[in-house]
Amino acid sequence: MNRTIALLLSIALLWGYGLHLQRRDLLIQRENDYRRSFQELAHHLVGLEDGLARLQVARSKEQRMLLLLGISHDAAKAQGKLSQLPLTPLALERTKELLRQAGERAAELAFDLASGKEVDGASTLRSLWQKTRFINGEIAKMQAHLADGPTRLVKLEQALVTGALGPIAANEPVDPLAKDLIMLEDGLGRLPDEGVPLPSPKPAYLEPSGPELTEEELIRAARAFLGPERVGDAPLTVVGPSQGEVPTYKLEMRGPRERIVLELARQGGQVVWMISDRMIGERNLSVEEGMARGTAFLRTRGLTGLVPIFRADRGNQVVVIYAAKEEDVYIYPRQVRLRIGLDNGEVTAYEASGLFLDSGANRQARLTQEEAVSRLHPDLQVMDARLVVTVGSRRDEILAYEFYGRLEDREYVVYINAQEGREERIIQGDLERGFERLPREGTRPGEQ
Amino acid sequence: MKKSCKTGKPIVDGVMPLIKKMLLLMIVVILLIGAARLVRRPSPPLAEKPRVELEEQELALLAQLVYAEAEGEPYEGQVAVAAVVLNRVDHPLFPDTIPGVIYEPHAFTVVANGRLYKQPDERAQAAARAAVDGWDPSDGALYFYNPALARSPWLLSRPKIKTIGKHVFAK
Repeated sequence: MNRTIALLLSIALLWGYGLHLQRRDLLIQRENDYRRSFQELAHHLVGLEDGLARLQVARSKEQRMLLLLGISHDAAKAQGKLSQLPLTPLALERTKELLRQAGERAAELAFDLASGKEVDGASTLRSLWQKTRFINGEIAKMQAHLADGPTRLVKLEQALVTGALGPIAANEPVDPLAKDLIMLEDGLGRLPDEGVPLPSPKPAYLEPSGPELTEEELIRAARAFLGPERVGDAPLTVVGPSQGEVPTYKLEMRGPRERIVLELARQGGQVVWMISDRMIGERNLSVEEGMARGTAFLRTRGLTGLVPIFRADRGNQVVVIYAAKEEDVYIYPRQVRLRIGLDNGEVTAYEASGLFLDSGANRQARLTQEEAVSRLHPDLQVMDARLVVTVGSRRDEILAYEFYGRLEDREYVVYINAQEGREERIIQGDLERGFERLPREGTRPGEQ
Repeated sequence: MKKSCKTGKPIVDGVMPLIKKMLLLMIVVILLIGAARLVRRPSPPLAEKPRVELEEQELALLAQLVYAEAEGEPYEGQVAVAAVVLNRVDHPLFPDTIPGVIYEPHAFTVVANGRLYKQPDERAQAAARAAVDGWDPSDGALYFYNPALARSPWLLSRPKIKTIGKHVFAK
């Protein structure tokens, strides 16, 4: 009996020890991954500081270009390494913002330098250099903490997760490494900001105008949008307000076949988006038939002046993107997306927040299409061209010629700025993820 | 069949305790392997086709996240969860790929606890697809949380956009 107990006990002990070893190995492996990311982050931050410092003294265009490329590379690498560390609960927004600015500013300056603009990169990037120096000083101090044990970063990770720590908790007793990181963020906030701020990537929305709709008016507008036959006797209710870019009210329809959610602009009552949870049945309609239903849907809702520009065949559904077309200019930001079920041709999802954008103000091209074509690669076989309002290389809104063409076995879309003649963007393959580009109305690919 | 060694002592008498020890060791090893299997999580489901386009793999990963985070949530809530991932991809302060955002350490609890590797249902897949196709019921949110479970004061302090089902979506 005693022997059996002793045997079982030894088995249990061995089992437990085995598990312990296994766990230790896993923790060490995790620590190694984190340490690698941490050391590589430190490496790229030193590279970034070095590049920014050398840019202060560089005079020739060639040197400045090389340094800017290096800065952009190190900033991107450091961003990547930072995202691999278990520091998510700390947010580290200022550090991330600094890396973003360094990368984007360097790419922007390189673009300007190449286009012949005389730029003083040194003074623009001077404050980023100072901030990077400060970060590197702090990182050097943190390196000392890594000697505190073989699983130092895993311990930090556990402290951050179990404590559900936020960056505001700086005065609480915390892991010294976490404290250093909090101090780093704090210190970055105290350093002066110099240079011109980067343009905001956020598009501008039109100011809502007019009186707010009442509950009855909202329900009436939603019913008209969906169509009385689709709503039938199903209850249609206002759920509540939403604090998005466009102030809206959310409405819900619970029908026998589907549950539809819509958001309507509080002022004006236009539908901003709509989505139905109906699972689509077997395909009975072609993509063209589905698209025709979509176009008719828009027309009957008074949404005119929209033309289909992209579409994606999703098996039993088709997704079509329409853009506003005014005086032969396609206003890409002002777009509407429709998802149409190819079982019965119903619109199962609608997205029109683009119609609320303050967009497309500038429509006067300085270059003719022929002048723009002359700036393309001579072997690019142009199959279609449009004058469009779109987002340029600096994420600002530009007027550009969009050329869709082929070179060897690849298809490309090239944007030539219609005012400055600059080659703004080059896209290979799909312009929109998985979407097929539709030719201009009345033309087929290969025609112009 | 008994054989004798040089001393004349039957070999089996010396071997028996060794066999017993070996048997015991084998039992322990088997038990250890069994125990290790018990604690090991199921491996991720392999893609059916050997070669899938990267975009399809990313979409599948997004659907897994939607299923793990928002199973049982309303459809637009599921689309919103997928949209949060895509909003992060587009945001300069987050990684710029779908796997980068999903696997960012401690960005999502379901990644940390392995729920991510459950096979998503058709609805979660459709929701992920809708977000990739351009729908965002979260209205540009970068975070979402269940207020009954979230503890991080920082997360709870983010400006709220809306609530869908059990999730609060925030900037």
